[in-house]
Amino acid sequence: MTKSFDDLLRATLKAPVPEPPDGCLDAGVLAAWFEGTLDPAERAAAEAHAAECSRCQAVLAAMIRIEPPMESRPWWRSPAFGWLVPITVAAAALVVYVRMERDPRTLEVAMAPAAAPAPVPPAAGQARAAEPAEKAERDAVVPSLAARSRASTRAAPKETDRFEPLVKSQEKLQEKPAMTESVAAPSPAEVQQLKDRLASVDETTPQKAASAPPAAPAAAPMTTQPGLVVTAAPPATEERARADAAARKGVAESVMVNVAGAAAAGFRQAQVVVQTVDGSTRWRIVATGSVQRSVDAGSTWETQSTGVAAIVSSGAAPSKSVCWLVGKGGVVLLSADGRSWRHVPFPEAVDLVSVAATDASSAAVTTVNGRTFTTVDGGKSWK
Amino acid sequence: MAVSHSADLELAERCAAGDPAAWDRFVLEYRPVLYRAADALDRHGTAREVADSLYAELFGVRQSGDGAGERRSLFRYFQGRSSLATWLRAVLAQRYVDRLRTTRRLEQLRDDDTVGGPDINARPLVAAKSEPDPERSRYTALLASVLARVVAALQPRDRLRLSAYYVQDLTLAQVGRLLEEHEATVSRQLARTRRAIRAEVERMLRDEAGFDAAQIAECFRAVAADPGPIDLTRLFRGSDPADQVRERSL
Repeated sequence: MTKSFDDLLRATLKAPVPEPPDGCLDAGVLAAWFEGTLDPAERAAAEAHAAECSRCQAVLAAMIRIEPPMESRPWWRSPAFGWLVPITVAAAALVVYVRMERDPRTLEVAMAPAAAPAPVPPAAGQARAAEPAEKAERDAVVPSLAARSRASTRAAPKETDRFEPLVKSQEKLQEKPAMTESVAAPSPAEVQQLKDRLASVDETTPQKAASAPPAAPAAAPMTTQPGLVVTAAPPATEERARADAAARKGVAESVMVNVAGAAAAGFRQAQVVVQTVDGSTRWRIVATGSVQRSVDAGSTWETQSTGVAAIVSSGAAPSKSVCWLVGKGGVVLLSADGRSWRHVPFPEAVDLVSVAATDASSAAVTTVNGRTFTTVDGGKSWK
Repeated sequence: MAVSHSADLELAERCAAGDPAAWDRFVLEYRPVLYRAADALDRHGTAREVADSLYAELFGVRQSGDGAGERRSLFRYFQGRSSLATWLRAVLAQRYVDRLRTTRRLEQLRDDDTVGGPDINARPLVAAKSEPDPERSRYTALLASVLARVVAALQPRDRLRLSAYYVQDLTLAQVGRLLEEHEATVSRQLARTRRAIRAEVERMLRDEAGFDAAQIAECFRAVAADPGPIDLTRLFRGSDPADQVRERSL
C-alpha cells in the first residue's frame, strides 16, 4: 500500500497545473540560484514558481545532474570523518587518564641519612607551635624521631592537595624542587639519642648496632617518576663522614617525597621504594598487597605478597632482611627475614605517613596528623 | 542587482559586441564546459546538438535578412549574477528540456530517454484492467482527486521537494543541493510531508466523502490492487502551458 500511495503521489505531482503568472525562471536566475547569489526574496519567489512549474523543475533537475563535481577535499576533511576529531580527543583523554591511573608515581624512600642535614623549612617552627600540648609532651619523649616525623608530615600533602590534578602537582614539584627536600636528615647526635632512648625502653635489643649495615659510600639518588629525578647532592667529606656514622648506627628512616600530592598520603598506591643504606637491597610497592624485593640494587626483582591489600605510603629498611612498611588506615607491615611479611597490629586506624626503624623490633611511626607511635617489641605494643 | 562576476560579464559583453578576440577566448574556455554538460545530459548526442545550436545564438544573428541588422546575441541576457559557466549550463539545460518536451509531444519516447535520469514525464501508474470494478474505480478516482487537492495546498518548498524527489527522481543529496538542505533534513522533511499528506487525505475522505475507516482503507487498497480504467497520468495530463508554448513555437 505504501508503494501504491507513493505511485499515486508521484502521478499527482506530475499532473500539470496552471502556468504561473510570472513566467518561467530565466537562465540568469537559475544560475544565481545554483550559486547561491539570490537574495532571500528572490529565492522564495523562485522556489514558489518552481514548485508549480514542471518545466523549471525539469531544468533544475537537469542542472543538478550536469553540475560539475564539487572540488575535492582531502579525505580527512570529508564529512564522513568529522567524527574523528571528537573520537580522537576522547581517546587521547582516556589514554592519559588510564596512564595516570596505572603508572604509579615512584615514591622514593631514602634509607640512608641524607648526605647533608637539610635546612628545616620556616614553616616547621610554626607547625610545631601549633601542635597541641599533648603532642609536645610526646615529642619530649622521643624528640629527634618526632622532629623528623614532623618534617615528614610537613612534606606530606595537605588533605586538599589529594584532589589536585597529579600533573599540576608534578609541575609544582618541578618548579619548586625544594619541596622534595622534605626531611631534615638526622644528625649523629639525634641518632644516638634515639638509639639511647630505644635502648632504655627495650633492654633486650643491645645488638642493634652490631647488625647495622656497612656504611653507604654515598647517598643513593632518589628517583621518583620519569621526568622527576631528585638526586641527593654528593656529600662533602665531613658530611659524608657524618652520614656514614649515622648509617653505622643503623637508624633507618623513611623519607616520603611528596610526589603529585595524592600519592604520599595514600590516596592511592604510589610506588614506594625502600632501600638499605648501601642501596643493595631494595623493596618497592607497585600495587596493593604486592611487594617486590631486589638484592642486587634493583637489577632484578622478586615479587612477594604482603597478604594485606593496603595502600603503603612509606617504609624503612634498617637492614637487608628487615623492612617496615606503613600505610593508609593504620597498616603496618613488617618483614623480618626479607621474604615473608607480617601484619603488625596498630592501635588506631589512622593513615600513617612515615616510619623510622632501627631493626625488626624498634620503630617509630608518624600518623598523618603528626602523632608518633613507637614500638620496641616488633609491634606488639605501641606507645 | 549585484554583479558578482564582472570579468565574465565583460567577456560576455565583448562577445555580444562581436569582438573576435573575445569570441576566440570564449570558445577556447567555455566550449569544453558546454560539451561536458551536454554529455552529462545524455549520451545520445541530442544535448550536443543543442550545445552546438547554442553557439549560433550566442554569436548572435543579424535581425535583417541581408546581414546588416543589429546583432542579437544571447550574451545580452547574461547579467553577471553568476559565473558564465553556470549561466551557460542553465541555458543549455533550458534548451535541452524544451527540446525534449517538444519531442515527447510529437512522438513516443524511448524508455531510457530521460534528462540524465529517469523519465521526467509521467508514465501510466498501472495498466488498465480489462474488466474494472466500478466501485474500485470510483474509490481510485476519489482518492486521486483528494490527493491532488492536498498536494496543491502544500507549501511551495514542500511541494518542490516532493517533486524533485518523486518526479525528477533526484537523490536526497541532489534535492539537498537544490534546496540548500542537508541530506538528512531532506529525508526527514520528505517523510514528514508524506505523513501529512496521508493524514490530510484520510481526513478529507472522512469529513467530505463521509467514509469510515474501512472505506478509507478500501480506497488505498483499490489503488494498490486495481486502479480500474483510470490512468492517473492521463487524468492529470491536461494542458501543460509550457508544452503548449513549445508546440506553438514549432
